[in-house]
Amino acid sequence: MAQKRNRKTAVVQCAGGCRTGLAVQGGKEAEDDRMQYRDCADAALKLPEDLSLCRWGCLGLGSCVEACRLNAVFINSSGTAEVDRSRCVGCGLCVKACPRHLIRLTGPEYHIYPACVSKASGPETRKECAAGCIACGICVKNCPADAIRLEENHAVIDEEKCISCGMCAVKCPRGVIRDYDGIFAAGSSLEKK
Amino acid sequence: MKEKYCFKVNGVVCSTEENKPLLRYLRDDLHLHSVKDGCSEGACGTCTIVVDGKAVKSCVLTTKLAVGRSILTTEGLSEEEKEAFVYAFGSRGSVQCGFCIPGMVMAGKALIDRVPDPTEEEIKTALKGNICRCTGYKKIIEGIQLAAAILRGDASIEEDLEKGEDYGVGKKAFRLDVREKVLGYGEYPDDVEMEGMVYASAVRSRYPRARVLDINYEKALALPGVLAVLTAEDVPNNKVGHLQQDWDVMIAKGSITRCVGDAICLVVAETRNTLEKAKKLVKIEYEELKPVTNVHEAMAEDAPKVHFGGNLCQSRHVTRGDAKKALAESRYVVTQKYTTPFTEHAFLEPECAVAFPYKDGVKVYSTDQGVYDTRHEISIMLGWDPERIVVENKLVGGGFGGKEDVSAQHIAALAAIKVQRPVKVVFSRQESINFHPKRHAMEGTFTLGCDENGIFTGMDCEIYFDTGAYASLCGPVLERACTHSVGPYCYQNTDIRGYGYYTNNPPAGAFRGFGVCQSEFALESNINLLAEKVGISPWEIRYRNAIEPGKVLPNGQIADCSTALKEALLAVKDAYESNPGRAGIACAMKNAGVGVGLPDKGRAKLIVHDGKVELYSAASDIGQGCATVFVQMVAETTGLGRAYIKNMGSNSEVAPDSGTTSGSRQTLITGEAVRMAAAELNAALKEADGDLEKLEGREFFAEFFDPTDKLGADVPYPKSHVAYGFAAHVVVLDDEGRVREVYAAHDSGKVVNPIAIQGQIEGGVLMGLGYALTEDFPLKDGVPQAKYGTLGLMRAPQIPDIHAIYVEKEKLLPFAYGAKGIGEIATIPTAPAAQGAYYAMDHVLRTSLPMKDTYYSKKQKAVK
Repeated sequence: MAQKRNRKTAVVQCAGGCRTGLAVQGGKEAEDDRMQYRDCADAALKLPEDLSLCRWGCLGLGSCVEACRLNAVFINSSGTAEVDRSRCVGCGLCVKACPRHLIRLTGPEYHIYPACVSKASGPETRKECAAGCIACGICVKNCPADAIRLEENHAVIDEEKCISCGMCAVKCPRGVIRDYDGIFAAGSSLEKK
Repeated sequence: MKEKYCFKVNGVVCSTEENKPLLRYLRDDLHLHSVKDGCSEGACGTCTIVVDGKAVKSCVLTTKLAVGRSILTTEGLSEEEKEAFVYAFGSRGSVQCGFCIPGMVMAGKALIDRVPDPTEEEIKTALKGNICRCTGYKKIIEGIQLAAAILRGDASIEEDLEKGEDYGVGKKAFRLDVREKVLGYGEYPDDVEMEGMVYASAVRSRYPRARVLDINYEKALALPGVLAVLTAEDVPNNKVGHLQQDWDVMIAKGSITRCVGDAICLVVAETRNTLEKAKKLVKIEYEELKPVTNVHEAMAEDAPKVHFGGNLCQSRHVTRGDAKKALAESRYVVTQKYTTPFTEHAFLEPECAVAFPYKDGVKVYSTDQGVYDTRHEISIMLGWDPERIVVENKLVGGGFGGKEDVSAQHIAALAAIKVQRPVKVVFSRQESINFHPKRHAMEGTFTLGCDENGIFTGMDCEIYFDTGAYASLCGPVLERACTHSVGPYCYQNTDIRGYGYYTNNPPAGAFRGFGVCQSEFALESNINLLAEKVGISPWEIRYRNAIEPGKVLPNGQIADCSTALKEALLAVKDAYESNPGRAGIACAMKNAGVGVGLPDKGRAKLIVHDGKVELYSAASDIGQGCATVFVQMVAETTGLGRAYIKNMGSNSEVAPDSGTTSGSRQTLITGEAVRMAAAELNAALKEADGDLEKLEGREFFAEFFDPTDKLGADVPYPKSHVAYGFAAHVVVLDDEGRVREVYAAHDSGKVVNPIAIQGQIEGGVLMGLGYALTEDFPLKDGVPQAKYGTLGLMRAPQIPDIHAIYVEKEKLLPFAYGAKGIGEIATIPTAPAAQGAYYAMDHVLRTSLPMKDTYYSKKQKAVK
């Protein structure tokens, strides 16, 4: 039986909007800059502050990809880590590998999740990233279960209260809140880079 | 060219240019009425459909987001799936009011497709987003499990069960309405579509208390498609009310509003969209006034008067013996203050009515608890002879007391008469929450005394009810709170004072338990404190005092032969005693029938027509299953099978008045009338050698009335009610303080339908647990703060294991085959039993509901 029973899944809480922006602005140099780092942890430590990359988002160097033994994590076309749910078994190795703590494990019933943990202010994020949470609070207002709060400038869903109705994903003006089932909002690009 | 949104619905390619919630498209454009609109907010799950294999709420998804998807509703299930779900849900008793059911079926279907043999936990998780207010989920979970087994081939359908050849009292009767509710073709008022039907909706007050200075609706009226805007001036008699006519149909210009649910004007328009636009164009000028927000403010001498006659709406003084003396002479006495909140019924189906010109008057399709009550209220409003108004119940998607007052019916009738077309009025979920009467919030001080052996000596209490903006059923609810505050015990000295005050909060009225949930919570908590003083267990003190046949209740009534409280207590003794330090116990009694000297009559008419027995009795089946019970009564009496008995529903034009669905009365009062009529039919049938066809056209009518004594009647042993049901509940906690199990033992006389009664008990227990632990109705200056999704209604993953136990005495009452009704009592003892369990665990006395500092309150707080 093709079942997936109570298996946890990793989700990456970043949609890589800043890098999409960079690519548009011809951010080749920044890309090259990044290549000098050994892995994500190294980059997280040494990355210069002024590099126009989000300080909270995915570094895209693939430490999580390395860590995964099932080839379930890959870097997608926007240069961000992404999980292939058909392969993921929720072991948590990628979670440990991410120096920015962007990956978390969640149950299949919580398929709605905000893909951004940026602590930057709303206007700042709006400027820097095409897919970051700007803390507008529209999700908070529309959640029928009062399960969403804004914490350090981004939306956080309390799974204890969330009923996965998808209202926040539908209402989010930035597409930050994703549905990994891909029905209420984009789940993933699933395009490997 | 406009963008077109294409997708498949039940295998057929559909497209629309309109971007709107899929729920609206499926219901309004495709007329797929199995997709129910319970909240349109994503909270309730009644609109659940399957999209590309996933259970999805169709009110959240839009036509635009659905592009390219494959959508399935109950209508599109395979025949095999339909039969599996109908049988599984019917045989397991998963269906009560039925409004959540198609959504549950689709959530179950999505799960079964993914996991053919789902575990209980998996089903609970899959139902996380679907609220059921009737069953307590257990029966639905069992139904999905069985449906899965049938679809796997591990279980089979027993076709005889639905046919019901053996449909008598005590038989596992497959409810009459299972098929139409499971498959979603049964009609609730919102599913009615009529030629030329238009829509009406009220613009309601922005403030709980404000003077309406002006109502500017010219712009709204000028909008194309708007047919009329009605104000108080258009209402022949602007005051309605279930018992006291104090409820303004609309607040007139210059008058003062009493709560946020107050209507100010009524807009009638061709379409829903135009209606919404028009409502926004109505500008009302207010002078905001300070609201009266609780009983203390209402009692203050300089308090603004919510109603002309002052803020005291109702009061009762119930006394017997000499409580003062008895308490003074008692070995042990406890006095404690208790508070309980407003509670929202949260029935899954919001109020709705369709009215249209009919004969020389108007007809209303309604979802309510008594078509004659609704007819009466509308006749008062119109100043008409009641016969000119016909009220017919469609399916009722839950009531629990919250659909006793008129809500949508009267304004639909008013609009239909004005525009001379069929008019549908459907409440939004928030409108429903703001408008209809809640369970009364209570503050009360209770004193109970006992002797050195724990035998109760006397009781004194003072109860304050917040009845909000309107009386609704304040009088009888307050009275039941008072009369039942004594509990099902034997002592003779009581002094009970009850007061119901008007405030500017939403109105309070009838709610399953009818005042008794509040007062028995207080009494049962006090009993635990006394047990502690005496040094005996909470079980023991209850057993020592428990009423038994022949003994005298505190109200003076002699307990009848069917009284089985002691048996109920014995049934839960092991559960209680084997869980020391984590179990709580409580008892309850609840009247069946309204009693207290009122002309509480049951009426039924049987007509033999086309070789079948047609049953006419206007008794609303609000999901509890009385329509099935009546057919069982006929089956029992005549030996006929279900196929020969047709319940014609609750319709004031053709069915005799059999009273309100209230006070746990239908099974007993109407049930006995049905039995009496059936007995006459049976006698005639015998004369006709059992040939029903020989009786073609014959009518058999019966009226049942068992007189009672009014409150305070000057007789030695006044009989307040025809019967009482009794119960003992035990709540058991786990190590973390979560409710692990509930044992609910009930004496409700003869069990008429063993499948249905379990669902009634489980659902009642879960409602009681919600009352104890999670449900609240916060108000800010009289304005409700809760949405449907934040009321604290228990969801499937939260439910404990509920064991429904019924005890029956050998000797039963001579009415309705000895049945006494179960409707309300199941909700009453759970909250005090839960409170007792926490007290046993940490010795902290929690005197207010929902209880503070529990596993549940911590979880809820974590979110804020």
